[in-house]
Amino acid sequence: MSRVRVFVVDDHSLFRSGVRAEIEPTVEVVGEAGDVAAAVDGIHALEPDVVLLDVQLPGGGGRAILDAVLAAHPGVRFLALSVSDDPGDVIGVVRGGARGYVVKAISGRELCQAITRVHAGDAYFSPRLAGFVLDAFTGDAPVPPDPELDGLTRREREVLRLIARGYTYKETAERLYISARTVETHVSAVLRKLQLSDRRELSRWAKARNLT
Amino acid sequence: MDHPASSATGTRPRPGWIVLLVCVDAVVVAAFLWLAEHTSPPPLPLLVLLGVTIVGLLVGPWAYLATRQLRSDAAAGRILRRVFAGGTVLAGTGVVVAVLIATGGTQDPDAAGPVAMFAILVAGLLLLVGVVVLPWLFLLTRTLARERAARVRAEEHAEVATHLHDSVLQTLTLIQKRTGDPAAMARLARHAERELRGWLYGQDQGVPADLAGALRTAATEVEDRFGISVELVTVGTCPLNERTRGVVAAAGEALTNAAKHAGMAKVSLYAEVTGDQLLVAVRDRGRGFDPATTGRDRHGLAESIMGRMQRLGGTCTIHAAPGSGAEVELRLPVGSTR
Repeated sequence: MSRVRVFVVDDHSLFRSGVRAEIEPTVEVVGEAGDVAAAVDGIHALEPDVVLLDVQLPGGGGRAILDAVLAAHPGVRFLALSVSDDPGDVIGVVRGGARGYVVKAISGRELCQAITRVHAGDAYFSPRLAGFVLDAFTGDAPVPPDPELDGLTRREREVLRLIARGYTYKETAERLYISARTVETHVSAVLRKLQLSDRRELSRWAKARNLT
Repeated sequence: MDHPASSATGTRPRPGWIVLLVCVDAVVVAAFLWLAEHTSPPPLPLLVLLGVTIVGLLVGPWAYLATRQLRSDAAAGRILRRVFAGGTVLAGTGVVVAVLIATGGTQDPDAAGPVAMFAILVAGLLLLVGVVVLPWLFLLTRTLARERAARVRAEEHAEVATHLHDSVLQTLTLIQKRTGDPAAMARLARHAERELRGWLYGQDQGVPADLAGALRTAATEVEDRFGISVELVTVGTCPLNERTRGVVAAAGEALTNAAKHAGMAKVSLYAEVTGDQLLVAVRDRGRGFDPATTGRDRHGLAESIMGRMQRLGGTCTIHAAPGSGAEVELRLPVGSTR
């Protein structure tokens, strides 16, 4: 099996070379960029499997790259990477099309796992993202307009809760007596709901968070 | 604040100009007063013409100076245009009324003169107020607003500079000095990161006000003391009271245990507040233990965690096995305390 082709986007060259050194043995880093324009050009030219995307970037942020690339290359998967503690930023980039979010403090091994998972078409939720999402969908929000789409099922909540507690997918599956594949299905469903759910509710939540 | 012409924008009229204009005005007004005193009143059209000239001479220079000063400003331009329109309409109406009375009405031709003069003078007064007082007020408030904005900017900049100096800069200096001690460097870097984060995202300022803040403080203490990292995730929060403080203390004890015994560099701390209960979970992937044999003889676990939770009316569950990590789960019903 050939190695996953990865493109790294981050405005700090030090961080890019650090990530490259950590993941290079497992995956193939085909290119890197430090701003939005260079990233869009590079991704168009190289068509990598997975793009590691910094949330905050000069020239429009990670969101601008997602918007520019996904329309033309829907097959490219994005994994967001950030130091941000701002749930609005993180949820924004996931809603823009990123299939996962990890914090920059992540170990090289975990990062490789996340890349593999995103490459396989699954979602990768770090504990922090799971926490943000639970917060977004729980809160004190009244009944969402379309329960089918906007609410999380009880099982999805349980899965997210365990991930937020630091469980891996495998440990989550064992704890809930379901298969790891089912955990992946639940997480992908949550990702889909996050990307499709009612904009009003989420923006209201983001606003409430920023006020506190 | 003095004259409108002397503030703000670049084109400053020479003071000589103003003095000259005032002198001319004074001479003309004096001549008019002398004429009114020593000659018989002129016919109405001449009177009107004279009135317009004098008022024009009085107001004109001010209007010219003010418009030149405010030409670049859209809002001020609008005010000026309105004032001019108002003045012109008033003066025009007065003249028309006067002419009508003088030509059509045979009853009292003498009333025409005062009416026309009055209208012209009021129009002149209006113009004078409009072009001198309003621009002056306008410029005054704008200058004040600008000064305030500049002051706020300067204060913000000073605050940022101070903060960066006290935290990041100091830490970077320390790190350069202690390159031989990786553990100390990591601790310093973590400390600086946390401080900067707290400052950027508004967390952790002084005494924590709620459960999430208190847990963050507890996690920080354990990180600093044992050199591990705690991954904290909170969902929702609630106010601190005696019971929730107790849960924070129990969580801190569980974190300390994990840091001491698990032998891992990372511990997860999770807290969730739902409508009626508070859940805190402390989890590590370390060497684990057997709760059946270990639980009772270890004071921290038995007393500080389990005993405390029982006294608070909550529960403590332990998921652990030798070799597969440990998780301490604290639950507290909070419905009644909120």
